[in-house]
Amino acid sequence: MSAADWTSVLRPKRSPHSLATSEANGVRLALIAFALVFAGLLLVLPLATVFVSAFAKGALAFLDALREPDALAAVKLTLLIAAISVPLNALFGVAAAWAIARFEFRGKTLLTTAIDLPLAVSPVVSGLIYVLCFGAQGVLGPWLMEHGIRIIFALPGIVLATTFVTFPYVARELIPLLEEQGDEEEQAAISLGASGWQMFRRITLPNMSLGLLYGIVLLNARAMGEFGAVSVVSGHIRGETNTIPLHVEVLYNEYQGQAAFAVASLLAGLAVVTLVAKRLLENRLARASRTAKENA
Amino acid sequence: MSIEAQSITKRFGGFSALDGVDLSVREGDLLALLGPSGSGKTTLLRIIAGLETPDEGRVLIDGEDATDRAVGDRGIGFVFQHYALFKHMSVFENVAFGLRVKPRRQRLAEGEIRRRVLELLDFVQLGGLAERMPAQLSGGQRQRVALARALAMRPRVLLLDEPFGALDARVRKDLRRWLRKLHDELHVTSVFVTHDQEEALELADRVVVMNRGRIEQVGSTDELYERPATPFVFDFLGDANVLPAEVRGRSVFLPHAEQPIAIDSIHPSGPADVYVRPGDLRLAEAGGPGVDVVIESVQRTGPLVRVTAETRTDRLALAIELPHLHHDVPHFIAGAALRLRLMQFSVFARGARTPAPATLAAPLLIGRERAREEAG
Repeated sequence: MSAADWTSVLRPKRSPHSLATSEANGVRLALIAFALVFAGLLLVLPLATVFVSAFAKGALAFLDALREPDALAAVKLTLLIAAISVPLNALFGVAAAWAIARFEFRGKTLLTTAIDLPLAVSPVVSGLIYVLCFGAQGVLGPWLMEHGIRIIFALPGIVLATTFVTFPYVARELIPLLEEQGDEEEQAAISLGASGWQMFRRITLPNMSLGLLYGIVLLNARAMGEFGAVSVVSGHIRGETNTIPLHVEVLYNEYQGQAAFAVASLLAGLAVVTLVAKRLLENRLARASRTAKENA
Repeated sequence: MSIEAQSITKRFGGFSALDGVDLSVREGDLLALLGPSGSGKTTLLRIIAGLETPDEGRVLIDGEDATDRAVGDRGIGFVFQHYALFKHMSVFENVAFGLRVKPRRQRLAEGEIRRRVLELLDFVQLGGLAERMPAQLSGGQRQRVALARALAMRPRVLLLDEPFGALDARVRKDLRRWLRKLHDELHVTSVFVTHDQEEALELADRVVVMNRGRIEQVGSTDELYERPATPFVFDFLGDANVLPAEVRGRSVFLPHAEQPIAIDSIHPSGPADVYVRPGDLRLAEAGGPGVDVVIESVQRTGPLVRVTAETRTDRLALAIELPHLHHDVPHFIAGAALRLRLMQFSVFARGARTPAPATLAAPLLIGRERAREEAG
């Protein structure tokens, strides 16, 4: 794009009466420049650094860092955790959103607030809660020890902490969507003789599918990237309870900068994929909502 | 199929939506539930459908208690106000939905479903649109898809919630006529909800006028117009002028009239209100009985002359609609004094108009009279 093109983009669309807005041209340019520089310094530059540093010693070193057994174990563990907590929270999110959007019941406000709790609590505290409950010195610790059940410093603890932190994403996405859609279509299905399950399967689920997918994308990104809560409950056992983010930290603390960045680039790649998917879904959601409004 | 609703009561929180309503719908009826918003008409329809459960009372379908029967088992077809089409399904799949969700043993073969759906789409004049999505249809077309979808189940009763509410005036009129024709062809017992009195009176065999969770009157168009049971019915079916009066024996005394107006039937004596429509007032002959008024303003619309006037004695505002008759026109000037004759009117005992719902009950009605003279 040439310089001339840029100025035409930045110049306000001039109408005969836009003297007031054209006088603010300087302010406008300054704001745009500030936002771009700020985003560049804080967001784009670090992301680029991750990839540059990852390949600092060449592609081979990059691959070696990923093929290393502890790194592979971390990747496997992270995928396993996501494979458990994402479906769990998707299921919970759909159930909670449906209950909240469709029914009146005692404790509805409480449930709505509870869903938001993980967003308000620091992830470290979220992890600590589970240590206090299930740890050796915790409330249920002695009983769990007696029965040989390990939760803290083991997979169950990490799954619990991750699930807790990622609890709100699907439900928060679906509640406003379901409320906006209303329940007339569902009533119509029932009046045509559909059973509750048929109604859910054929009407409710297809209508919420975009929103659900959107929620799952965010949920998955958060589940794989969670550091704080997982760090508290995992115990940092290399090759056993280290997830990708924890493994990155270990490598970094051991001055293996390039390896740390190589592993970190996996998460950064996930972030980019997530952003693209999010953007595409947002467009489709907006379109669906627009046609729904036109049809109302 | 007949429907019987018995002493139905329904409350939403502190709001009483239906208050001991009894309604019977006869086989083959086309019945309108007419009332202002909040009168309970939609709630009654939804209770008949089974989409809502009554707090008290029973719903009988063909004499059998159906109060606890699920919506799908009542043999009803419900058409929603905003159509509630399944927006991710084609027109064809929308209409086929009810047939497809049947238990496997009762389900028709795919070919049979296809045949029935296409036949229905032809019937509602949407023959070529089977593969369209709801978003690609006009309002009137969507309404007809909703109707076809309900009819696919071969319902014994068709329930329609504000069927034309979301359509523009022209489409509404066409669809109204079309629905009437459809009812005459199918003879399916139908109940529809509307707040538009013209729609109710034109389309329905019988009209149920509702107000504040109660039924005010049930009757044919003519019955409602000629013998409104309550001031509310009179008011809701058109414009009304209200004149305070006194009933003594067979005479109604209006403070603005020199002579009492004679009525046929015997009413309890006492204070009453005379209700008269703007179009039921005519210029009185000199010396004849009538109400004396002074013209405030005159608005001419061609065939009609709309006059606003005040009664002479207590300055009550009256709306008058007179046909444009050449020999009368010179009388219509602001400030002129006129004597008006009441061609037809209703008399309701005083108190019947007070806002408390309990006092709106039918027994307070004391009568109605039609002037015996021919129109001037």
